[in-house]
Amino acid sequence: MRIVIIEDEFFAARRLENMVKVYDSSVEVLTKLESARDSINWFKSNEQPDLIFLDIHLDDDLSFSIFKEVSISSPIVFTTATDELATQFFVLKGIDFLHKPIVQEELNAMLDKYNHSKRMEKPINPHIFDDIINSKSNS
Amino acid sequence: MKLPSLFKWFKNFDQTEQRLHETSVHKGNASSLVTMHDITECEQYEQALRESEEKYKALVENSQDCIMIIRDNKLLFANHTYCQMLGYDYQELLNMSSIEPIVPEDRYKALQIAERRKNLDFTTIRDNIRLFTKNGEIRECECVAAVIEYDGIPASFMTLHNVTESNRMQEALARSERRFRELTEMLPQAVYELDVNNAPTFMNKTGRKMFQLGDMDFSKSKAYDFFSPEDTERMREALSVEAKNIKIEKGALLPDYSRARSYTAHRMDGKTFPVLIYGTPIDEDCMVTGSRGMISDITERVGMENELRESEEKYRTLVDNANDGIVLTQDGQVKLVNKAMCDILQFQHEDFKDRSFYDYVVPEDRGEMEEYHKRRMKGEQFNVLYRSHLIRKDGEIITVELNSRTLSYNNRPAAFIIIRDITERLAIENELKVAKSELEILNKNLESRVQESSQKLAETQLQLINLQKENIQSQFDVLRQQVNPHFLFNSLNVLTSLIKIEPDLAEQFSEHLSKVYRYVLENKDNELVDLNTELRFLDAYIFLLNIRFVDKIKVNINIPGEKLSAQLIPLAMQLLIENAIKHNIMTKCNPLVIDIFIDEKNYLNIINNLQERPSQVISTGIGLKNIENRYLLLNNTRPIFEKSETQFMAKVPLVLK
Repeated sequence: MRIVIIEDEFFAARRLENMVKVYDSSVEVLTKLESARDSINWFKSNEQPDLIFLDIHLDDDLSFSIFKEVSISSPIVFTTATDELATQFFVLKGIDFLHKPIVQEELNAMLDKYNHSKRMEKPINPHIFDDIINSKSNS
Repeated sequence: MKLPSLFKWFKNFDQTEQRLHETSVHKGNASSLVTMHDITECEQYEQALRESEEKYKALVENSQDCIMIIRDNKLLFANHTYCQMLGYDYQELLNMSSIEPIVPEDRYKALQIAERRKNLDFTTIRDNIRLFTKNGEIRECECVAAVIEYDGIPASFMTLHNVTESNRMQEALARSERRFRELTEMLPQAVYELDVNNAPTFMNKTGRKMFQLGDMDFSKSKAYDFFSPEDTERMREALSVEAKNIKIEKGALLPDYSRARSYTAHRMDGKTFPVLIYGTPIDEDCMVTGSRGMISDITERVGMENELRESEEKYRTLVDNANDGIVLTQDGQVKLVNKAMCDILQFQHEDFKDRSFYDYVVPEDRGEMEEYHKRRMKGEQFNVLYRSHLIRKDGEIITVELNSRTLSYNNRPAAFIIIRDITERLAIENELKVAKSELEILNKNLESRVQESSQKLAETQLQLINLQKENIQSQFDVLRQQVNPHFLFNSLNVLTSLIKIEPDLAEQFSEHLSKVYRYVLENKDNELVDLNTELRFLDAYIFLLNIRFVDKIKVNINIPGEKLSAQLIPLAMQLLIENAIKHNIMTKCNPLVIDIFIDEKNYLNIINNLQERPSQVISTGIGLKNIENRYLLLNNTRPIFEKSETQFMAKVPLVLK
């Protein structure tokens, strides 16, 4: 199982990587990305992983902006500490997410879910998050 | 001798009865002849007698008085005058009783005469007696009854003098005199008569009352005694002139004395009053026997005249002193003009003489004026107020308002025109209009300014309300921040991450985190904190940030030691840093750099390089506004926030001790 961790906080990303290894040491963390820009670049030149842990708040932008640049068909588990609005949205849309600090059991369950599942049939809709984004260009 | 010849004479007198006459003469002759001896002498005598008889006969017949001879109430003889007076012929009179023509009331007089003669009383009797004419009119006569011997027997010889006419005239005269007397007494004027020595001889009731004479005998006075001493000489002269002028022939017209002279009269009580005297001489048979006249008390008239004069004076003064020009025109000619009018047109009074008013009117305006003039001439009475333009002496054209009305002047229509120079007024009006419009503009400006101000005031009030609200809000926010799950979660997240990987760092991290939270708890109620204290807290906070955002953030603080005692609101810097983190991209390649220092105006500057994030999750809206409001509430100072292409600058006021 190949995963990608997109997380702007250095120590948080390292912790998540460690926790994933705790679940299954064979899980391959393809990369740890800190910004949306880096992520887009990575996806443009790499195959889609089996699972993405995606923090909402990245160094340079919200992670949702990635979807507008590249088509992502990998399953995504969002991670968030305090974005209540986002969490409500995820619950509403049935999108998977994990609260930070991530608890090992919750992570395990999430990894279990996606360990053997196939890829998503359709890439994620780049606009489904528009409602909760306060775009600078609009304001 | 005398008596018989008289008898003969009377016998021959009757010419109407010739036969009787011849008989009487014959008888007379016979009786005379009896006594006469000398025939020649006698014939001569007879001749003389005849002549004398003729003479007397003519006298009797031609007498203006009636002459008759009566005996025993029987008329023996009557002359022609008697027949004429009563309208009977002689025979008729002879056939009737002599009493018959006498009015019954007077008959006793005739009877008395007859009675006295019977008793041989032959005295001559004078009496008045009235007789009826044949047609019933009454004749009044003065009667003289004497006795004569007629045919040898005494008879009454009566002459009647007809006084009917003269009585009537006298009565008429008396009546007339009474009438004039009464009228004179009734006159409201005093009527007087003076003799040639100017002594009063008559004064009517009004006069006596006027001069308060009562029943006084004024005949010893002189006319001028009743007048003011100043008037004496003048009056004397007037009276003498009156007297002199009267050397006139009978029938000539008297000179006109109707011209009155005015004097000041003196009443008995000493009061004086003005009078007018109309005097004329008394002319009796071309002789001036005095003067008479009429005196009118003209106190009332003088009063009225004075009043009139005063009133006229008043109006004249009014007209002369009127501020408006006044012109009276008739037939287009200026008849009267007042001073104001002269001033308006800059002409002298005499310049207007015999000039047409149109001369002073601009030609364009003459038509209208002429129109009014025509209407006026047709007898139309009207007032009209209109504007016109007049030409001043200096050629300047002035605008005037004319109020013209028709009035009668010397019994013909004239135009009375009141003229007001409104040139100045128009100018003022114009100025006023301009001023008014300026004022209106000013007013409008003021209004909009007031509106603006009130709007601002409303805004300020609203702001204040909002501030108060926001203060509560911000206090709440600060409080909330102390336990802000956002910060806490993030910090816990970091701590969680650190614990296994970097246990020492985790320990330090938790120490600093506790410092931060202690500080927040300690200062949550303070309005101000020392910069020094705040900076110590900031160190701890920055420590946490550096661990969370490894190499992505850099905070440079440069505060000189002497400024450390300055104060500011708590957590301002922390809030600004958090804000910068929230809004900016921060990567290792492009870290967020925050510089903190104090500028020359003692503002604490918190400046970060600007690299805005394109989007973010909708924020809770806490931030800069919070800081702003807290300062406004604190001391009405304002933090300054400026954003340029490259940086965001926050300047926070410091409160210096």
